[in-house]
Amino acid sequence: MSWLLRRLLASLMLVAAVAVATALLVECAPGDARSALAEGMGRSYASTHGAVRASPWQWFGGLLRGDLGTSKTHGRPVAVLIADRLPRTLLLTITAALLQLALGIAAGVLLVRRRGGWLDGAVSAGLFVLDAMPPFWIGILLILVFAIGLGLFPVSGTTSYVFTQPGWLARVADSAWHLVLPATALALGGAATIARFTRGGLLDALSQPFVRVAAAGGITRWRLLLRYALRNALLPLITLIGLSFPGLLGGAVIVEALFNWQGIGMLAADAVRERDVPVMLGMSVLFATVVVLGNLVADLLYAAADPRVRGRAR
Amino acid sequence: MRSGLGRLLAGVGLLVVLVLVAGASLVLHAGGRGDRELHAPRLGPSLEHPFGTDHLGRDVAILVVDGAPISLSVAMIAVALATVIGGTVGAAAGIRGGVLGGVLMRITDVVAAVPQVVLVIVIAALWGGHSTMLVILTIGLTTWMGTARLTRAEALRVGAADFVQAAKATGAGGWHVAIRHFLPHLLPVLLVAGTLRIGNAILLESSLGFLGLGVAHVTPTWGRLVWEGFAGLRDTWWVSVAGGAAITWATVGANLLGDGVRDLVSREVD
Repeated sequence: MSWLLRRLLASLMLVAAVAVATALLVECAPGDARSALAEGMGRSYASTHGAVRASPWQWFGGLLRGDLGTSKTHGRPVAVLIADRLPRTLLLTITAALLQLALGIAAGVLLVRRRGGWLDGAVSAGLFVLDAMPPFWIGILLILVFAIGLGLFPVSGTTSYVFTQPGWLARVADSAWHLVLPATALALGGAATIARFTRGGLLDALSQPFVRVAAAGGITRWRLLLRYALRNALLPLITLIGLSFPGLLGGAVIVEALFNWQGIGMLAADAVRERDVPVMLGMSVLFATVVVLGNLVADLLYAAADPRVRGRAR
Repeated sequence: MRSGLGRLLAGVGLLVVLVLVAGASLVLHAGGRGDRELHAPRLGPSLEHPFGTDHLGRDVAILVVDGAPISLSVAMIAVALATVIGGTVGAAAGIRGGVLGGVLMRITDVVAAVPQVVLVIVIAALWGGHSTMLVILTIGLTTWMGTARLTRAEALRVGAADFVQAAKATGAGGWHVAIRHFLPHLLPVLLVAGTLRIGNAILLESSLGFLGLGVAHVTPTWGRLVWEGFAGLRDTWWVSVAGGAAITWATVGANLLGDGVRDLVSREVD
């Protein structure tokens, strides 16, 4: 338990340090960045206190009280803006995370099962190229083929403007329909990494004595792979999911801008274009929080899944 | 392709083609052909214009060729910068250890806690410039953390080895041990980390370009080309496709090179 407590404390301090570093960044930036921040801080503060705060350090003080300032372009508190849009981004990134996990594991299993064959070569090469494709380009190709070309999915947006069918089921279906392309665009790059790790883990596990014993017992190769080897190969993947959070969130900024998906990534991209400093700062603290939380959860899951780690961690 | 050397050669091959293309672009420009001729706008891909023309009537194939020197040099220099920073931080933390090492690695943790893309665009937006220098600095300053961690781990491993202990026992100075005994073991790690990050740097630079933040130049970088093409995706889809294909080509080449170097170096160590 003290291990958990220490881990939590360390995570909190990390987020606080990111906030300080962010404030430092504005302090170092050319003058108009500071005044842009002061303006954003001033609006919310002046209304209640009748004074204008100017320094990035006062922004940090506000942060401790949960006040992130006011957005220049949206004219609303940054915290409210974030709370408004966070669910959509979580929907996108969690869907993408699950999708990349499913695709990556499936590809990894396939690679090992057909090792040395033409399918192995083709899928390996395909994954290598996929890994090298910029996420926004994957998105554009998806839009070109499936939205503009085939007309199967909407080009952009989170939901349709006009609902023809009433009822919550139609709404859910509509959201899911809009979710397919952005989630796929976000998932494909990471899937390549997960496939590579799954492949390595499976090959490792297959050489272990307990797998060889099972194989000698005469079970089928699929069963051997899925039942015996995959379970062990999945362990390191837990850490990989935690580590893939920064990439997913960073990718979300790009993908949301591409698909006009009204989440926090889009908020960040807009803020950057409009030099909306309070939003940018709030964003980096938020992203850091999610990343740190992701790592923490991955560590906890790993400890839950593998008793050997718990002993070492203490 | 399976062997390290095969990957290395394939990667070098892909990159050599690009460097030749970039060189040809520079030579042609130097020869007074700086102004490219304009054609009819929005021509689809054909034998004459393999990637078609854009909304201004520029030949997209020539735009891709002209973008090569900028896109490639920005990525290479940024990676060199990141490798120097990461190597220095990691080596200092691993060799010296103690309070300095702890502080350096905590700083690394803090920078690594913000997603790279977010960090890059926030810095680029705050400084608000479109200069090539700014983009190089931004990418270099935000991608050194992995290299620092790798270098530190290797330095710790080397530091525990008998030959280092022996050197220290004979009274060798700190700098002497660092340069004579640590450096030869750290350089391969830096080489591998550096080459493996080139692909990532190309992608980051193109992401900046895609968000309209990157290098602003008469000839667009590849990322910017994708961005410009995205605006007219329905009419001139080939612009985005060509820009992205160039980025993918370069990144595949860089990743193959990195994988090959890693395989060769790790075989050497074993």
